[in-house]
Amino acid sequence: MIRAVLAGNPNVGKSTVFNALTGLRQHTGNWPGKTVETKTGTFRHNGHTVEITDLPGAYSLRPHSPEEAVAGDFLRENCTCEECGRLDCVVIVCDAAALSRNLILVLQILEMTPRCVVCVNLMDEAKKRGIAVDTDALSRLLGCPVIPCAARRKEGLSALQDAIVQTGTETGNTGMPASAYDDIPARAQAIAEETVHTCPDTAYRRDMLFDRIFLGKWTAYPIMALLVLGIFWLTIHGAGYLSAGLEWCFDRILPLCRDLLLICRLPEAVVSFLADGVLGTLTQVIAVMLPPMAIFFPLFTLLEDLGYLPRTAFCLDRLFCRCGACGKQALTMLMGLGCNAAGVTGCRIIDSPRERKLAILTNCLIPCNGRLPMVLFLTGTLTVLATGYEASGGLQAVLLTGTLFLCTTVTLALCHILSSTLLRGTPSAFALELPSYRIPRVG
Amino acid sequence: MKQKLSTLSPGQSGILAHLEDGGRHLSGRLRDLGFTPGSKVTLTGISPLGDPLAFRIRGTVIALRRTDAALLEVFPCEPEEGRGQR
Repeated sequence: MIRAVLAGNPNVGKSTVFNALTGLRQHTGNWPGKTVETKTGTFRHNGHTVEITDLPGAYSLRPHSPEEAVAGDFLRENCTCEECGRLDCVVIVCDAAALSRNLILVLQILEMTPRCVVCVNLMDEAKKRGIAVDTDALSRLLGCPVIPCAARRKEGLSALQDAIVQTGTETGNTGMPASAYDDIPARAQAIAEETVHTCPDTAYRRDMLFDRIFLGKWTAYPIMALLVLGIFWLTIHGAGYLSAGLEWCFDRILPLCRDLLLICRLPEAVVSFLADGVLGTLTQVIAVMLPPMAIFFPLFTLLEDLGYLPRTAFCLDRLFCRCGACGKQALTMLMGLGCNAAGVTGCRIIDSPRERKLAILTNCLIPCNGRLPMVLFLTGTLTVLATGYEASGGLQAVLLTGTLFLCTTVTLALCHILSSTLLRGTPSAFALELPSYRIPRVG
Repeated sequence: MKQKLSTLSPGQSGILAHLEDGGRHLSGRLRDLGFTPGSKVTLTGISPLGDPLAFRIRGTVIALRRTDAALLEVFPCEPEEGRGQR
């Protein structure tokens, strides 16, 4: 069996390559730091079984946070010693549009082991933006196979599998050709200049246009509010129909269950307990709780895939900085809106331990997907109590957005209190990558 | 004339000159993100609240706070004519 591992910078599509190779469905998203833990899968190619591990992304093998150390430690342990060298092939995934930066990590890994395959992913995105990569020249300069790939479209995968099997089964390796540069970043830049051809007019036009809208001085916050409002509105409206449908079904199934229990000649009390008590409550909970969750989560995933989440961190960083926290917390809070557990694990992207603790401790203040129906129920009931009228879907969405605003304010206040009492300290440095916008894929 | 990275105007580019470590282990991190001497860096955007700043470097966009960007020095390029990058 060949043991391979997927390494690379954050947000270059390692998990997408992993899914495409193994047929598994590891969750992906368009922001650096999405993959938290290593995951392993297998595939068969030309009679060889390949076991492949998906590592969390790292900008460098010199780690700057304990989480980033995971990838570096894993590679060091498995590559450097000859006898226990349990890794047969390291697949380094790169973003074709940012090769110059990606090559820094590639060169660092190549210094450690020659058994590498470089996978230049996102070739389709790069091509659309007028960026061409000469992979043959790159392969010559790096001294290892370089495979162009578009994992989302499943292009270049069999070539990648060929290269993994070949590198994994070979014994002798050529290694990296000598270079005039000792310094890795300078060398990366020189190689990129030789192999990447960029047309600067078209390369970043789309991103700049979107950024002008999403990050504009006057448009950023209204759009943020509208997006949240829109998602809530769709969730509430859709959930209304779905709930009604589910209730209709349950209303027809419950009497049947009751009859079935009666046929079994069970005592009246037991039948009532099972049919009215257990099944009745269960169906009620499902009809109320499931629809909002089933609609909210996919909508939220679309926003995640688009690459919008890191932009909220960019827009709100100053507020968090004032409160002694890190702007990336905005991103983890949004993830918390989908699921608090995902929000807390997402806190790994915050480098400073103090700020990470702040983000972890306050994440529970954001109502997650599962708590949304509860909040909806409360706002609905309170509206009826206060005004005597039932709240419409639109009003509910506004109220829900208001609740989220309130939660954010409380979070900021709590961060401020915590960072002047228990978790004292000044805000640390902040460096956040804003990924290119990518069109979300359904399914 | 060298100037601080944080003093570039929107759309303006510069060639990175020197990394000064503010004692927060930032320079190593910035090097790995591509901020190395000789790289071209462009200020592409400013957060609506005035901080942080977004820089395009080596094909990626990295957001840095003004205080951190002030640790880097650049040789500013002449502003590009016509359809300049914002």
